[in-house]
Amino acid sequence: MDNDYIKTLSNEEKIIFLKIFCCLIRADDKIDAEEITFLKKIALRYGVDNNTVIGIIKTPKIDYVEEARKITSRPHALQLVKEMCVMANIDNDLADSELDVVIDCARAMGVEDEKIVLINRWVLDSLILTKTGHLIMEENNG
Amino acid sequence: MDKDELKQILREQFEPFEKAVQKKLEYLQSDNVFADMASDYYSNAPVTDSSLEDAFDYFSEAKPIPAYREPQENIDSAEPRNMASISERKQNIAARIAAMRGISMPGDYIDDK
Repeated sequence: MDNDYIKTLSNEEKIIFLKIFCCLIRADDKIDAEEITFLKKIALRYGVDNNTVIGIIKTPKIDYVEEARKITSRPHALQLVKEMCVMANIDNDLADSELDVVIDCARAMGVEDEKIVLINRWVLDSLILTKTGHLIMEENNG
Repeated sequence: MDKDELKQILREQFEPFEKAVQKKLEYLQSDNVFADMASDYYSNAPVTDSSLEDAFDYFSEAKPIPAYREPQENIDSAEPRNMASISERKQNIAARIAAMRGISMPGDYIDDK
């Protein structure tokens, strides 16, 4: 998926994104290996150092709605919704608590419910297509 | 929209990946239109050099889109369309596929220079 938006994020926005991702990971009380890998890759892509990431993971309680309200850029808000949808769906399971985080954050940023539905559908189609491609190309991580 | 309603919609969109991937694979395997058309072409119609050239010309950016030709088949059309007949288009597509694959066509020759 397109990662060009990361260059347009401020350092504060990157930290907010990571905090919200962390909340999403902890939402279903299960931490999947793919979710951890995803968070590490995201941190790497965002250029956020390991200590900061560890600090975020260790923070006991993060008010993700309050954090989401700080994202005032519409394009960045949509990207955050997209990334949250990827994280929520990538572990092949969709918990109610994960949906709460996605919906509450999206609404806090002023993203319409219809847009959330569209983005989620697009993300699912992309994930399915990617996994199908891995299977067809006989790649082990498919 | 009510939050529970939205959650329900998002849940209904979700499908276990194994099942979804299997469905996608079946779709890809069944929707092989061009392969079927090329297969029909190889078994039936002869191809001349000019039709292969036409195929290249048609897809070349330097050339304009071919002018409208009278359809040879009985195509029910309300307005004139700037397209070749169905059989000609089929030939063009099959020739394009063959050209991409480097396959020689029946009735064609290869210049060995």
